[in-house]
Amino acid sequence: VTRSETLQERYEDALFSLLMEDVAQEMGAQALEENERLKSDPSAAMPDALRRKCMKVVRHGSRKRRSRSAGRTTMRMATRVAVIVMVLILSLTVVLAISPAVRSSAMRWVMKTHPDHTEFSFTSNDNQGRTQADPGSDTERIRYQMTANWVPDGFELVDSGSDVFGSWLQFRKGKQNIIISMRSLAGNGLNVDSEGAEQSFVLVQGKMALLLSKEDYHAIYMPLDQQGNGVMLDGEGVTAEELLKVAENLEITPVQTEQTDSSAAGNAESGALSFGEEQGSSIQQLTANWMPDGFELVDSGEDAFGSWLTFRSGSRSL
Amino acid sequence: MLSIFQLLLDTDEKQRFMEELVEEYGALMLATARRYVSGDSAAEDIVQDSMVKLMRHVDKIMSLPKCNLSAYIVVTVRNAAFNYLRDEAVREKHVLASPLDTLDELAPEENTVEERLILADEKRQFRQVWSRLSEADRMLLERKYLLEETDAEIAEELGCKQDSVRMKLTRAKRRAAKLYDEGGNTL
Repeated sequence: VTRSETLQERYEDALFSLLMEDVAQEMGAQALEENERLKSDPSAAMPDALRRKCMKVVRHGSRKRRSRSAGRTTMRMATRVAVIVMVLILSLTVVLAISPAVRSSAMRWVMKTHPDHTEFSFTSNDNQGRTQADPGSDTERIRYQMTANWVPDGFELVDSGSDVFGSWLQFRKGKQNIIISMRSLAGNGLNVDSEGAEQSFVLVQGKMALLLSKEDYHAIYMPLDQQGNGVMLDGEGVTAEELLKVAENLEITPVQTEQTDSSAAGNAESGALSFGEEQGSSIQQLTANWMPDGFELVDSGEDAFGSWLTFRSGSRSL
Repeated sequence: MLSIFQLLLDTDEKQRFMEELVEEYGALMLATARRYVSGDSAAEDIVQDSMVKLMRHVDKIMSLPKCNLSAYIVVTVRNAAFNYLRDEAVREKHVLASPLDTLDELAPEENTVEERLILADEKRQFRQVWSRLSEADRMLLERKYLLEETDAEIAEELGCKQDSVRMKLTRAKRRAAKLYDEGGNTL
């Protein structure tokens, strides 16, 4: 794509945005008119059952729903915002068919911990050092198949599927629930309710993951690839240990790769797996951009299991 | 499927906004869904699916004027209905044809959009053109310019590649420009 073509596309986008604004106004006016008519027609009213379901959907996505759970806290950030940047080149367990250009790019899952919630986002640096929020936009898109090789006794698969945001598996045993879902953070991000939750970093299949625990709820968030895909495990009524075991035994296989450039196509055709030196190793880099006053870095390093930073202020340590 | 801890509405204000949206536009959402499916159960599923989609864009829709918001809601429900029908594999029975299937059959225009769509102050004429565009073209342009979805999001929804989306959009814009010309307008 030449610069001229890019500029023309931007021009067209701007022009159509302007023209469509007027279309939206007209469409909206008609919709408002219809809405007023429907509101005055009792027979057109939303049934109470559906209204309750919609409100439930709203509450489900709201932190209020779970604020009652704010109980014991073993690790509540004293900070306003603490930012931890996880840089993962590739992991041992998830080997992807990717082009060299993608393989050498760095990906960042950025986790911002606020007092009442935690925000995940994703960026990727390409070879030229440019940062893109949606690294999948000009590279191949990878889809995965998830297989849970272990779930606690008595759990049965009750739901599975996929939508525009990702795919999921749901297991249930009475009121106990385990949900395994995969979604991309590229361009979207993810906010989770971490208020009052225990937070800890754990190693799952050799990769760093975040474990959140609140009463009998547990969740594990783990980055997966350079495109911002991640796996989330939710457990309700199960122990953190059980959920970790589910995560350890989760099999994730790339099943479909769509290329948008010819160089990547050849790579995929040669086989689903492409091993490089980088793919045989796991690198996690932590950067703490904020620490409470008085804390100093006293130790850092990495070993076969990961990397660490230790900060100390007197007898207090992080 | 939402994660247990996942927050789509991370402030009270956003939660209130969505609750009020249900109260204010619930009947409109249901009526819109019923245009595309016959059963109440299907229509209710579509409304709930639309709610999730709206919640994912709550920051955007909270900033919209009332008129634009109602258009956004209607288009969101309509797209959710199309997705539902597609997923249920009954779309062929309920819709004349997949409006998106016909796009590739049409030859691309030779003239560029830039050559014809030069002035941006011809909105009235464009509204007339809009009603003459195919359902497929309208849906694509709505997604791109009204819902402000990215090419990646559109591709995901339509089950095609991003390059294909870009091509379809380019063709849709060219067809709009051609209709504009046929109406005796000169841009």
